[in-house]
Amino acid sequence: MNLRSLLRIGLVLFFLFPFIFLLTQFRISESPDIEELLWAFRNSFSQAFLSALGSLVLGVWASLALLSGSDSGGRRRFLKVMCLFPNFLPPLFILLAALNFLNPFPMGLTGISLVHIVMNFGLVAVLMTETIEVRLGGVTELAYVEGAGRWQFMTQVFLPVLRKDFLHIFLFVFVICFGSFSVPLIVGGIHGTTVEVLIYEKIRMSGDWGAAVVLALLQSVFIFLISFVAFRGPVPALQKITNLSLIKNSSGAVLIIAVMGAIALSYAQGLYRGLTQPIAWTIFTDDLWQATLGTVVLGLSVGICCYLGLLLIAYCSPKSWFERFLTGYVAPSTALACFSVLIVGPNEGVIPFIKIPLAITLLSLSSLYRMGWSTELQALRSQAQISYSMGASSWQIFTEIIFPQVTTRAGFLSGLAAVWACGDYAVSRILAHRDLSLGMMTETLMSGYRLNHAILMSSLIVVVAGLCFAFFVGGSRVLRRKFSP
Amino acid sequence: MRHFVLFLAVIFFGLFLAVLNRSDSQSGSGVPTLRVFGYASFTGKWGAGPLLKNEFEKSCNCKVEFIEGSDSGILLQRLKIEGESLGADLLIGLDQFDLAKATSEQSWRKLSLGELNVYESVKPALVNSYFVPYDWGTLTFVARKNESAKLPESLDDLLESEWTRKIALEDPRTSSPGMQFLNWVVRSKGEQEGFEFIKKMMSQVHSFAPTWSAAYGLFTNKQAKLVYSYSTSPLYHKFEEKNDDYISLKFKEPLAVQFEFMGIPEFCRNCDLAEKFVNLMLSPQGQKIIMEKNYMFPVMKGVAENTEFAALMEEVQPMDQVEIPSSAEVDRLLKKWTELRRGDIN
Amino acid sequence: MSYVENLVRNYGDFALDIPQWEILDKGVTVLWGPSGAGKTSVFRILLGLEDCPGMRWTFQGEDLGKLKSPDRRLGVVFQTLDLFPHMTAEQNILFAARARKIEPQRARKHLEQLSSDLRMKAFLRRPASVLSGGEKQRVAIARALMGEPRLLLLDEPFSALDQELREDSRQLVAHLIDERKIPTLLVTHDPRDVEVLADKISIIKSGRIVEEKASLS
Repeated sequence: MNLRSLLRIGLVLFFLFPFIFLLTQFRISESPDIEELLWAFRNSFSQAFLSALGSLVLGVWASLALLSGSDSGGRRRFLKVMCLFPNFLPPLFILLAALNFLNPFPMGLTGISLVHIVMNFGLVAVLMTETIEVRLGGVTELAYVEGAGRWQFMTQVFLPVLRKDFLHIFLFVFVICFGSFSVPLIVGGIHGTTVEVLIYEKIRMSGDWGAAVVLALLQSVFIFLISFVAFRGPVPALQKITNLSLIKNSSGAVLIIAVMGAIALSYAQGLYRGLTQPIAWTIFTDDLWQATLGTVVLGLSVGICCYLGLLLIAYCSPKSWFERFLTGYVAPSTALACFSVLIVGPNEGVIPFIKIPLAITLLSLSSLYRMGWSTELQALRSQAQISYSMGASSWQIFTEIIFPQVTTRAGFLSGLAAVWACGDYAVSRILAHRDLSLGMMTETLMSGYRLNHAILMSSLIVVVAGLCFAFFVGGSRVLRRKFSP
Repeated sequence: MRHFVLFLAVIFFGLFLAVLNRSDSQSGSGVPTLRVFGYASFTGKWGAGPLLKNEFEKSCNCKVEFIEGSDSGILLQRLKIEGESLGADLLIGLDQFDLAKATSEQSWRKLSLGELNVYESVKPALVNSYFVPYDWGTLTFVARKNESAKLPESLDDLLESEWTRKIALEDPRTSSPGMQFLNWVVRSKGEQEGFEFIKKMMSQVHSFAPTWSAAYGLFTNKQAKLVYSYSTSPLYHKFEEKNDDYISLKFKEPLAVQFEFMGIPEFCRNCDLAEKFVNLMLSPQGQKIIMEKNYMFPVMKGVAENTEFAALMEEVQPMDQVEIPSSAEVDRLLKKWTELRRGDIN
Repeated sequence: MSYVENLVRNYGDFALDIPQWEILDKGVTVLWGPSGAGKTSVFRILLGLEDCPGMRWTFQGEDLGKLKSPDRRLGVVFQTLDLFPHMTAEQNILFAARARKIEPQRARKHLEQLSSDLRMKAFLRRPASVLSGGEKQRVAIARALMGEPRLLLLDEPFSALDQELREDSRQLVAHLIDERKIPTLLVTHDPRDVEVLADKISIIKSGRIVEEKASLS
């Protein structure tokens, strides 16, 4: 067995670790209540399906607006930052913003989907913009020159060529929303119970870990099967960037500015309320500096782990079963994954700073893969094949062909993971013994009446997360330059 | 290239060491460390924890280290899973719904605290010799003054059209106050009528938040006109924000009571220190800190007197009997709750 | 001579079945056939990018079928050319030299020769991503030849070029192959490629070689 096969197996075991570990730790005492499970599944499925569909449709529309600005232009950069803004905020703040601007808010399936769409369509837009450029540039130019109409192009080229990419992005949002916990409970109305809520209930109230693991396993198998069916067949060949005049459309910019502007406005109002309260300064304690530093370390550690993880996946690809696994893999619910990491080994001193990044990496790496990493790697497959047939070693192919071309994307994706890590409290709260980061401090503030202070503190998260994001995006570009032949 | 990577590595490890330096400086130094396991809003910077720690460290010749968990349910699960390796000497923050589970899953040290001069309404909570309450509160709906012409005075009033989709509740499966609400209704109305009432409440509720903080956020953000919270909640706004707009409602039905308990696990390492810390928390000084920082009523007499807490304590009408339900009973009620919320989202 | 035997593979809805086939070890063998006939599958199997258990490919006494793709020492130009866009034309070509562990000095000399033969000097330092179609194609051929392959495999190498450039390119490739005496397998569906380049034509239909004949010229 060669090194690449070993690494592949190592990665798969890393991903499967929580399941394997929990299944050996907890006895499954009784079979799940099938009826309860079925409707919870239906609820999870329907809200995730609508959310993913809505995010995809609006995301693609918004991406056409992003495409209408030049790659390095200020307009595109501004819209991109707007699109990514929700990723920098705790979900509760986005939810409150959505509720502020839609009154009365449509509770139930529509409400859940709306909140999820607001949270995700911007990211989808950014991802789709890059995918469209990579996949469609040449074809679009040809169709443009040959006088194809927009509709004709959209139906005959745009949709068929991007079908698999749409599926990937759809699955990415679907998985996130399937495992969503707070949003279905808050805006789901009477019946807002999903599988994730059942899992949490089993752990928290009944302490029935065996049942929780079974539910998580069923959830993961279900999504794996969906992805297995969805991703049959070959991926269309790739084209190169040039002129995208035929599909550019500025109208999506209105959507981006309206939605993200509303979130920003609501957030600014919260900030103002926080700042004008007589005890605003109380958040500036001596612990704040330490928590800021902790946040930077967490953000950077997670970013580095994800960056290395993505490169490792790139090194281990292509391998059909491995790619299928990564596409369909879903980490167990946050609580389960974290507890499995918690039980292994000590939790003293520096250990949380190792365990938290590992747990967040475990939970986010497969999402990052679906977010465009697989597309990126597929794009280079024929280059890798030709290098291989020329006699290049897998290391030479990786360092000279793959790495220089994917490092920027890896930087962007790991930057996003770093942003998530900066705002995390769910994972840290289980694995850390005290408030190590701004995310945890924000949650502590919220759990003690201080919502507006929490918003104030979250502005620091936005700053730190922004810096971490810039570090990874910038750093990966530097690495690309340094590695370019 | 190598220099660049090295440069990044040095910066990263520098930061890492800076953070570690703080972690290390917290423990060590030769004196024993009392490890107190509690929920974040108690142990966090703005909670009662740090002040109690300072007070305790003045005289104990020891260090106090807090270990945080997100809430009592998760605290217990951690204790169950990590057990002795967690090194917890004292557990803080269990409510009465956690006690049966805590007792069945762990061994605890008996507490010998002698006669405690507690309020009448606290006495029923002293029946368990392993756990002692350190604060308590009644739960009710909190509203903004002047927002509504007529505020609800009974559970049935909550069903009036004015409150349709205007009530922020917590889900009992994920939150303690949510469980308190469920119990309050069932105890006030009887089980059958109670669940019928809850069924009707479903259309009145704005949302069933997973946590108290999310529900309270919806309320302060004016998404909801009423939130199920503590009678003492308005005092926070009054004292900390100088905002007198909030009011906790009195109900015809006696209010649900939440006790927060502490206990010492059998595997404690610094058991004597833990007992001393328990004593501090029950001392007038400790009780004052808890009352003022946790915004809950003290259990011991002689602290709240002549404060607004005492006035409020006089006003509230708690349930007479505080029972400590068994795990099976809690599970049964939750199962019925889940039944009510069963169905497809629409 | 170079013999391929037992090139048999079932893809479910399509099967390749070539019991025996001769590829010239001098000059150009053209594998000609309509779209969907199986040309690309044959090409990929010969390259070692797809498995074909049981295939033997005897080339000057050695069974290439048993070797892994890199060890077959083949030069290849795909229809899509697949230049490495982040490299210059020169770096693309020298990559092949490094892959085959050719000494830098020798590689440099070889590069000079190729750049003169293929008229590449003007754009050798340009990034591959900005080259024109014709330039890209010449770089791809130079890259394939740089590794000193025992056989050159070309998969529709002129199809991406416009008509005028295509003719020019054909002549250039014909000249180069002739001068370097490098055996070549050309996969194409364009009759003009056959006309200009072929020394031997094998016609493939539905996964089978249905006819083999010598060049028309």
